[in-house]
Amino acid sequence: MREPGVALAGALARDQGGLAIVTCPDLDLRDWLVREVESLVSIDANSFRTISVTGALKHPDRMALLVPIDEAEVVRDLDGSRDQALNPPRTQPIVLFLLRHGDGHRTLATEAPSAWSWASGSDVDPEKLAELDVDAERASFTTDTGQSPEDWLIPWRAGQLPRTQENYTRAFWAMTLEQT
Amino acid sequence: MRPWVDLYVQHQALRAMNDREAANEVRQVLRKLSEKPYAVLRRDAQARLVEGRVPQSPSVQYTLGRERGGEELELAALPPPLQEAVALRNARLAVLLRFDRRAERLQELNIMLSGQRHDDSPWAVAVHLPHDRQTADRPQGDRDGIGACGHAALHCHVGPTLDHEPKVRVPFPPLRPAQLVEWAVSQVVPTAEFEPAPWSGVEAMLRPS
Repeated sequence: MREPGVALAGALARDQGGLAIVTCPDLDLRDWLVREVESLVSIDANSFRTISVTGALKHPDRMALLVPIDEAEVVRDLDGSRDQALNPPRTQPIVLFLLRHGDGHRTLATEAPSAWSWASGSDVDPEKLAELDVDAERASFTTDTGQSPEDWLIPWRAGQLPRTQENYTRAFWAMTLEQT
Repeated sequence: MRPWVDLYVQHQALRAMNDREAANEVRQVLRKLSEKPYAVLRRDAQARLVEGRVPQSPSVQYTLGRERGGEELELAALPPPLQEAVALRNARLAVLLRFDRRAERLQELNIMLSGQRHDDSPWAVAVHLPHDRQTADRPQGDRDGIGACGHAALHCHVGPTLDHEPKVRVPFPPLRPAQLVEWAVSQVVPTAEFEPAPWSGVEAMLRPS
């Protein structure tokens, strides 16, 4: 399983000065993801938020967090601006936030081949990656302990298992995976 | 008795938090702890605070790395003057947080740091906020033990291990997860570089503006 934070950090680091696309499930979550990116990047990136491609291109030495109002227009602008991003060469990426199944992604797929290839390999959907594979995690727990999470929790809750760090960690995972 | 009841009420109030905001705060601390020249975690630790969402459920957890035992602190990589202040040969940091995303509630917190002293004897601290869910086998939710003094909801274990008698549970003030991580590491590397609230800064903030 890819870890969402690692995938996000990887997308940001993959192409120094390139274009990374972060997909957000909805508008509410977009702001959180912008903040997540801000918390992930080094202070040296000196990130800033902008709503336009012009604003993003103004500071080639800073990470531009491009949060568009009109996604389709911004994607078209990016498509026509790749050359400007190369001269002078950027030292920090532009991070474009687009809604899943939104106008931006549609435009990217149908009208913006240059922007699409610019971002190639640096697109990430952290919310999708965050979903736990509960069946696989339960199987892994059972292999480790010889018991299902529910069975393991019975003696734990009765205070019959040693309160070791390992068992505290197991209890945490068992409660996440517990089927009630 | 009143002060202990007040503390329990504060611990209950602490649980009200947005998971993404709390996780981003922890990431900022992890980032600082993994930036040279004073890094005790591998580079980009902030990216390894892994979010795990249970499908069709409001339950979401955050763990430091996929290794269930947490991450090794890189104590040997510290610059020599700092190494002298470290009383441990090795240590691992585990961060385990579980939230109810819909209710914006911290359900459970477990921040553990354990390792070995230079003489190979074990050492551990662990800050726990137990799950507060009331179930048939836990009718009192997070009211573990026999009372709010001896077993405060947010408490810290200190000992050679978490299971050694007497099991010390130090009541903890209602600090957010990010501050608890800062605190835990400051106990292992007690130097100015790892002190999140140096007295000079405290003094400046206390000065009337």
